[in-house]
Amino acid sequence: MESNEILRQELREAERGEALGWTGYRFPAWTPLAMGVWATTFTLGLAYVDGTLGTVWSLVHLVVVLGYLGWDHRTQAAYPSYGGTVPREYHRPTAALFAAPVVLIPVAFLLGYYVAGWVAAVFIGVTWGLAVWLYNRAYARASAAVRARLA
Amino acid sequence: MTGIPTSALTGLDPVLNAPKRLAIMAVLTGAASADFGFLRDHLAVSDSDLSKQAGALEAAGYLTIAKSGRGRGSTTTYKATRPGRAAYTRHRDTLRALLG
Repeated sequence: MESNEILRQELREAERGEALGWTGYRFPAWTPLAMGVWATTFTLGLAYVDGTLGTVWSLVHLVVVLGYLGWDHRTQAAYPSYGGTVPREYHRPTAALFAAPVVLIPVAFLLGYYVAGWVAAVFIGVTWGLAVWLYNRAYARASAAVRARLA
Repeated sequence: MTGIPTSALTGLDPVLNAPKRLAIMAVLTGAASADFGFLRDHLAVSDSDLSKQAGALEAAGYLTIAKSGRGRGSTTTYKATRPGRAAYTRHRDTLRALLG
């Protein structure tokens, strides 16, 4: 029975360890604003900048995203793995974040087509920034719930 | 997955029977990567102990160790390999099964 208790303790520690990559992650506070601005300028480029300059504009935005991801990966002590064990508390907010562009991009496209490019840019910037802000809050709540469950 | 030493009787992996090594693999299974300080603080072990345990896991092919920078600003980052994740998952599932 005592050995069972040791194994149980080991398993509990392992489950807590599995969640650490997620619960230990902290979003930089400026990410909603930065991502909103990024989405706005990217969409403005798509709407108003043609030819080579337009391609360069899009590539610069792509490089910025890759640079941010690389920097974030390097500066976080532990980085959550979407391909690994994801605590169930994160499932809904993460699915919602990935679903958001599926809804927002077609709406922005329609706004750009029927109203104006700048309207689409403002729309996507504001809504994407808001989505990231909501995700950061939901993520923090999920982290607290995981820590409480595994305490 | 061949060559990974696994007890035929229980499915428990001898490399992961050490609690500290199990804890390291647990963290690295949920995280894409973790740095030295993060693991050391989580496990509450000394630098040398963490290096020793991580070295054993690296020798088993369960994790990779990457060092960047020099001097005080240098960082050591650990990542689980695919066989390492599989071994950990199997070991953890066997533990669960043993405990019912």
